[in-house]
Amino acid sequence: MKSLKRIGANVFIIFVFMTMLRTHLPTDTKFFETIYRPVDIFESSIGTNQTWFMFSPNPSRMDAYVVGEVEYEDGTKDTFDFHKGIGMSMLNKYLYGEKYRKFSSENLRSDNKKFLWEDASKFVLRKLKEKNNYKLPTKVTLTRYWDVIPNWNKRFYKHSEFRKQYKSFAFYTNEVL
Amino acid sequence: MLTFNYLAKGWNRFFYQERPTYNLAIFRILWGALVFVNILFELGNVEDFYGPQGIVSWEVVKNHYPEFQLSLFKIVNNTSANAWGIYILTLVSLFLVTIGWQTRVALFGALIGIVSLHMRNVWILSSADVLIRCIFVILVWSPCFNVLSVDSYLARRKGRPLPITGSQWTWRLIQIQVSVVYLWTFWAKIKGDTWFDGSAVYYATRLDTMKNMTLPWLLDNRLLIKLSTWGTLFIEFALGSLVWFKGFRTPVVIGGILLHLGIEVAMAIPFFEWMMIFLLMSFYNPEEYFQLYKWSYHKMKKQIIPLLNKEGELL
Repeated sequence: MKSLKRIGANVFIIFVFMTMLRTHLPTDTKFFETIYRPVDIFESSIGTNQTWFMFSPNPSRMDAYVVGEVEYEDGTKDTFDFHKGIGMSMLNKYLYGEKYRKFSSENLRSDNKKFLWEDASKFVLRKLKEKNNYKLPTKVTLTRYWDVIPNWNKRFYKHSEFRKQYKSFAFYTNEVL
Repeated sequence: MLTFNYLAKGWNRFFYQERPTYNLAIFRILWGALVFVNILFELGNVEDFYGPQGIVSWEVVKNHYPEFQLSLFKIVNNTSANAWGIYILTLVSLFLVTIGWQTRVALFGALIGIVSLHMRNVWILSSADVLIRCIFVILVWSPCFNVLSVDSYLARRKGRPLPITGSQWTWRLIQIQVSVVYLWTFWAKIKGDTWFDGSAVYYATRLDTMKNMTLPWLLDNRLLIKLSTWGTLFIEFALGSLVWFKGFRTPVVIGGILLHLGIEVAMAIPFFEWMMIFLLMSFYNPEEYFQLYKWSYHKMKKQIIPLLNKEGELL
């Protein structure tokens, strides 16, 4: 029994080593593809893909967030900014801020993630319905705001400084009526 | 010359030496509590993140990830009640892991619950969430409940005490996992020019959406920014390599803790820094934990929880 446990543990150890190496090995060869098939199934079923690439190879220089705007039949408008994080307290970032930042800044704003746009626009409608219950919505627009941090030799921002000039682009519109 | 036997002996000594399991038990308590708080903090957003009216619909998730996943959402409907059920199952499991009651079952429950929640909405996840899963996959096989747990207390009362010692392979895997995180991140960073010219910390700390407290005395000075950038690279490399050598370990771990506390203060990357700090503690062995306990037990005039008998041995 003990030797069986030992064999099982050895297999598991090697398997975990393989998951650790997965991202950094060439995968375009038949050999690696075959060897890694069980690892890939395991990784996608549990989500243990080990890409520890935070702030690499360079930290992102682009700050971005998304704002959803709803137009109502009476001509009024209201917005939901997906808790964009700028000026948010540390506690709120722990509670929900970082998750919303991840969603809007790194996923929703991207053209590669178009499949998220419709759901996000409906989510904006629902969020704003709480405040505008009696109004009839006609249109939802998702707008991304972004700004690239300039080279520090051209313009050095102090740590306490917030940049004000964000560019914007309305990337998705959902006609509700 | 290295022979197979020599290597096999080294492998066995490294992974399978029998040792007290206090280090694993302490790690279980800290890790369980931290992940419990992490999940608890989502309490106000369960519907928005995981519910049927959430920010991402179940249809989108299903279409995007049609393959098998260890997620309860794959076998139950994504109703509001089920989302709450899975959330509460995860919280209860994590609580049981922390106190060490029905620990093995609770560890599996926590893993399945966490994977279910994470896979329901992967677009809100960060490195901290990946790390949680990676560590739980290892921890579920460990004897982390043999001491300092309700299970061990109940077993002692029944007259069938759990063994204090155990094979340390899971503990070794956790250590290796920690080193791998640092080595991969170091490897990825040295390909970037801003890490070489010393400006990386400047750009990382100027992201308005990720700012926490401001540190002008440190982060408005170009020389200190450069030293912080290169220091980060050096510490990450050391935490993946030098930490394995006893002589370097404590200074390297202290460097790592300072690095993570610095990031925690300046940037909003919730939980990740605390997770890494807790994981760094896994580089100390049970005997060293015991020495620390013994020292503090006598220093504090026996005011802390008595785990020693009259001979100074662990109960």
